Order: sequence, then structure tokens, then C-alpha cells
Amino acid sequence: MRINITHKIIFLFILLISTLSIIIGFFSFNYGKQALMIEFDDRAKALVKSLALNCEYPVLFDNKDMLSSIGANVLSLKDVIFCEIRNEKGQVLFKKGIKNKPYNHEYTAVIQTEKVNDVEEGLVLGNGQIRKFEKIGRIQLILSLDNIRDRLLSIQRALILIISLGIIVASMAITLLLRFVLGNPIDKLVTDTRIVSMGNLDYKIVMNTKDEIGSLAIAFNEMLNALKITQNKLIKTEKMTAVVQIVSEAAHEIRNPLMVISSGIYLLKKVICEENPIVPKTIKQIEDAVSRMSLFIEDLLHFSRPIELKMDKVKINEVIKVAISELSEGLFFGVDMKQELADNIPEILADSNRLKQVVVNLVKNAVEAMKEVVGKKLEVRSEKEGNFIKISVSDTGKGIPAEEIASVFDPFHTTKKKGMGLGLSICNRFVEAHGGRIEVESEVGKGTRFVVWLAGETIKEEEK
Amino acid sequence: MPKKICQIICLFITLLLFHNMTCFALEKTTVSVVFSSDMEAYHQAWEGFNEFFKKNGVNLSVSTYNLANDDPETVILRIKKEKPPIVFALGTRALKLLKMRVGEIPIIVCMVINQDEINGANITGVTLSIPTMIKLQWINENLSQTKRIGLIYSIETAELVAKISQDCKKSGYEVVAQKINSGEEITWALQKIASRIDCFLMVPDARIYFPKSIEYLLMEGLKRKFAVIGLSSFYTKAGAFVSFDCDYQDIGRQTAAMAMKILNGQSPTDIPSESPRKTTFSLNLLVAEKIGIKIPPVVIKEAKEVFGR
Repeated sequence: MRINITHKIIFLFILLISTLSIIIGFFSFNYGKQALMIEFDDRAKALVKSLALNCEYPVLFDNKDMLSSIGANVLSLKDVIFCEIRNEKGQVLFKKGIKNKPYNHEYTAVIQTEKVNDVEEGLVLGNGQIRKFEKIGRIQLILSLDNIRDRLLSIQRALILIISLGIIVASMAITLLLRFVLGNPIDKLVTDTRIVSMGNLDYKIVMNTKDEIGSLAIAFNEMLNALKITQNKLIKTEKMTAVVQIVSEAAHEIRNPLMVISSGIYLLKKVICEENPIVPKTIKQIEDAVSRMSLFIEDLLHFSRPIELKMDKVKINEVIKVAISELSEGLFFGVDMKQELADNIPEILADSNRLKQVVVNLVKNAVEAMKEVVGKKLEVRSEKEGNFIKISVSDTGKGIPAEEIASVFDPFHTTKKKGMGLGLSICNRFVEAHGGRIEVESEVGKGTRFVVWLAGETIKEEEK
Repeated sequence: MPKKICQIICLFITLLLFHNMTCFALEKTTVSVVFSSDMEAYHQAWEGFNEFFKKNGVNLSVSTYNLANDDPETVILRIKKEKPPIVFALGTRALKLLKMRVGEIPIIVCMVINQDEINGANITGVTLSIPTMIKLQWINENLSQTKRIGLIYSIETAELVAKISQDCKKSGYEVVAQKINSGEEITWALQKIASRIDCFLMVPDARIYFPKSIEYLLMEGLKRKFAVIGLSSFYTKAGAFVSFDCDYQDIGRQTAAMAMKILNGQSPTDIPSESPRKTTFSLNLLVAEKIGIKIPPVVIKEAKEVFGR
């Protein structure tokens, strides 16, 4: 049988309440017992004292009728089971009742009378100072404790009943309360955790309480978010690793035959005469194709190799200008090109070639995205924002659907007919290698904006 | 003529000197006063005693002792040392101590019940004992139907009861007396005499009378309708029909007059002890009603204290 935490807490509470109730009950019972005994004792003492006073007259004058009457009256009183009155000589004047009964208390009192001292004028002058008391007898009373025992038993029963009922009611109340306050939220947490454990990392645990369980739910949701991000990264990394491995092996396999083809073309150019004009043209076409393949292979190898940056002082605006200038003018045919480069951009430590490649790739992509649209506008901006340098490339192309934005930097992700889908992935790797990041903002039908964030302040400090 | 004048002058001077000497002697008088206890009645008597001397122009130089607080041996030692011309004892306890121990110093005493205690050569004084004849005379005047008077006594008061019996007989009353040994026997003694008496005269016997026995006596008196004549107004208040009292301050004055005589040189032996000269009585009208005695208003008016109106 599985015992959950709520049951354990309920059990502990019940145990605590029971222990406390038993202790309180025990002390209450003892207190009650003591109070009853004190009351009994006081009553008995008062009774025996009063009896001694009442017996003064009959004992003094040996009035047995009166003593019998007093004795009978006393024996009719509650708890009194035995009464004996003796005079000073020890003669029994009255004796009645049961003496040897269990559970009883004995009370005795001296019967005395007031006598006048031997100074006779005290009799005449009525002086109260000259007094003496003379013992004339003794009274013995035995009181039964049966009534007290009965009362104590009934108190004991009542206490047990009250404590039991109290424990039951308190236990029920605590059970309900804990079930509501602790059990239900925990159960919900368990259920939600199971849903998450089934792979639904998008699930959000909703908890209305603001206590520790509420905090646990919030922490759990945060953990889920982190887990999701980590999982995405892991998937990406795994994907990349696999891709890199394939690319590396493919590149090596392709590069060697290409080397052979290149050497062959070189020899062919030297050997083949130029009589037939088609031959050199064909060779030129083969050479171009091989060259493009070589470049592609180089790209693949770049992608597969760990990135090694050659850091130097770099002026970002210069990098942007050189990158755009290296692109063929034909690329920008029909495109309204605009450059807004801020003057306050500081020099930073960076690999200028890699950054140049980033700019080239982003510009090329932007132009490519505007291929089929009217009103092609391209804007390249650089600006300083806080401690960061921001390079943005905006186009008015067809835009990227929202569901594809997250995977635009994934390797081999492409919407184009041509290309391997490695451009943005390589850009992302280069920027991340600089400690920066690339962001994408896009709206289908309106255009896309890529923003490269580079840390400017840190580099500035390093400069110093 | 001048011789005569000289004789007159000499006589005048002699008389003046004699008078002054007497006064001087009295003013210088020291009295040792011994109280038996702190009872109010003793102090009243002492006030009367003092008042008498002041009235007669004598300021007493007093050494006061109280046996309630002072050690009897110390009291005796101091009195012997002081050697006063007279020692004033208030109560039986003081008298008993002094008469055995102070030698020949004259003792003047008051507030003593038993006249027999005043029985030494150097002792005299005033008792508390009201003469039986006064009581009998009152009974004769106000309880005319009384013929038989009951008495209960012990060996302690046998002589006193004998004297009372003689007085009763002289006055024409029959005495029904019962001797007992202790107060516990008062029940059967009363059972024995109650039916034969018209009134009961209490005698100051501490052996017989104590609160419970007095209570019994008074209850029996009411039950059996005989008039109990108590020992003081306390008894009347408690349930006796009538009681006779003394004026304690007057007893003090009466004793002071006797003391003056001793200080003036008279021997105590020559001054017989006296009974109180001023007596009063108290009545309990409720008891009178219960036992069927009608008291004339004049008598009620004469009473010093009246209870149960």
C-alpha cells in the first residue's frame, strides 16, 4: 500500500492531537480528582467539627437519647458510613454503621467544653479572657469514597468520550483541510508532471495557490521552459554534428576528384590547340563549374571545421562597405539600395573576413528574397545601441512564415530552388563565434529584417 | 497680754505645722497596685479608688502590676523592695499571691467573691458578694409566691451555701439544696430539685458553673418555669430572670476609704471586711413572661438594665 505525503501529515497531526488530548485529559482528570477529594475532605472535616460541637452538650450531660438522634442524623448524611462517640473515659456513648468497608476515610475530632478558670470572680464579672477548654470526649466518623469513585468513573468516561469525539472531529477537519490545501494541489502537480513526462514540454502547470506549492509550480514551469530550450539546442547540436560529419566526409570524397579534374583541365588548356573555338569555351565552362564546386566544397569544409577567428581591430562600417563593393553590381539590378552607417561605431576586435562573409550572405539572401516582388528596397544600417553594435539588413521581400522563423538558421534549411541552405547557418555560427547573436523579424508579404548584435563595450575595454 | 499673744501665735504655728506634716505625709504616700487580670471591672474599681484619694487631696505615687503580664515572683520582689505603706489587690489571684508573700505590709483588697479569702491579720477590703439578705428582700417584695429556693453547690461553696441557707430560713424560705461534685452532674441534680423549687439562686462556684452547665440551667429554668437568680447582668442577658450587681467604681471608692484609715495609722485588723454598699439589679422581661411572672413597672424602672423588652 502506498502512503502519500498527505496521509503521513494527517497521521502525524492525528497522533499529535491524540497525544495532546490524552495528556490534557489525564491532567484534567487528576485535577478533577484532586478537587473532589479536597471538597470531600473539607466537607468531612466541617462535618466532624460541627458534630463535635453538637455533641458537647449530650456528651457532657451523658444524654444518650440526644447522641443517638445526632448519630442517626449524621449516618443519614451522604457518604457517612460509621459514627462512634466516646466520652473522656473511653466509654462508647454511640456507635453505629459499617467500619470495615474498603475505600473510606476516617475523621476524628475532640469534643470539648469550655470551663471557667479557678478565679471565681470570672463567673460574676463575665470575663471571656479567663477561659479554658476541657476535653470531654472523642468522635470518629468514617466516610465512604464510593460516591467519589462513582463520580470519578463518570468523569473518566465523559473525558474519554469527549477526547475520542474531539480526536475524530479534529482528524476529520484536518483530513479535509489537508486534502484541500495540500492533497489536491499535489495530486494536480503529479498529474501535470505525468503529462509533461509523456513528452508534452509545451504544457503549463496552472496552480492558483500562492503558497510553496504555487511556487513549486512556477519553478516547474520555468524548469520546463529551460528544458525545452536545452532540448532544442541539443537537437540542433545533434543535427549539426551529424550534418558536419556527413559534410566533412562528402567534401573530402568530392574534393579529390575535383583536384584531378582541375589538373586535367589545366593540362588540356596547355595541350589542346585553339583551332576549334568550341573547345576552349567548353573547357572554360568546365573550369567554371569545377571552380564553383570547389567553392561549395570549401563552404562545406568551413562549415564542418571548428571556427578559428583571426581577431583584429575592425571598423564595422568599413567591413560593410567592402562586403557590398565585392558583390557584383548586377546583383543589385532593380533594387533600391540604401546604406545608413552611423558615425559613432567604435572599432572592435573581430575577424573582418568572417563578418564580411556574414554581410555578404545576408545581403545576397535579401536580394534573393526580393527576386519576384515589385518595389525592391534594401537597407543596410549600422548603429550603436547601448554597449552593442547593431548591423541590420532589411528587405521588402516575400517574408518568412512565422512557423519557419525558428528554423531559418538550421543547416540545409532553404526555400530556394538553388543552394544548400547553409548560408544563414554559417552566418549564425560566425556571429555566435564573436559572442553575438542574429535576430530575425519578418512579416509575410512585407519583408524581413536580420539584425546582427555584436558586443561593442567589451571589445572597447580590451582595446584599452 | 504679750504673753497671751505669744501663746496664741505658738499654738497657731504648732497647729499649722501639724496640719502640714499630716498633708505632707499623705501626699508622699506610695501604693502598690496589683491587678489579677485585665478585666474591665478591675479597672473601674481602680478608677474609683484613685478618684477617692484625689478628692481628698492626696496624689498617690503608684506602682502598678498586672498578673496578666507580669511575673508573680518579680512583682513580689519589687513590692518587697519598695516596701509601700499599703498594697492594693484587685481580685482573688492578686490577693492569693500577696497574702502569703508580702509579710507585714497591709493589704487592702476588693473584687473578691469569697469573703473567707480576706482572713489575715494585715488584710481587709470589700468583697463582691452581695449580702443574701438583700436578694431575699427583693424576692420577698417582687416574687411573693416564692416559698422554696433551690441551690446547687459543690464542696467549694458548701460554707457559703450554709450561710445562705441560714439567711433563707431566717427570712422564712425553705431551701432545697443539692450538693454535686462537678458541673456534669447538674442535669440530674436539677431533675431532682426542679419540681420542688420556685426559684433558683446561683452561687459563684466555678466547679459547677461553666458555659454549658449555665446554658442547661437557664434552659431548664424556662422549661420548668422557675426563676433563676443569676450572678450578674451577663446571666440576665443570657436568660436568667434577675441578677444582682455591684457598682465596681463604688467598690473602689469604698476600698479607698478603708485604705485611708490604714494610712492614717489604723490597723487592718481593726477594720472588718465589707460587702458592697451599692447594689443594682437587672431584669429579663422575656424570661419573666415565659415563666409567668408579672413585674410591676416601678420595679422595671428601678432596674439598672432591662433585657427582652
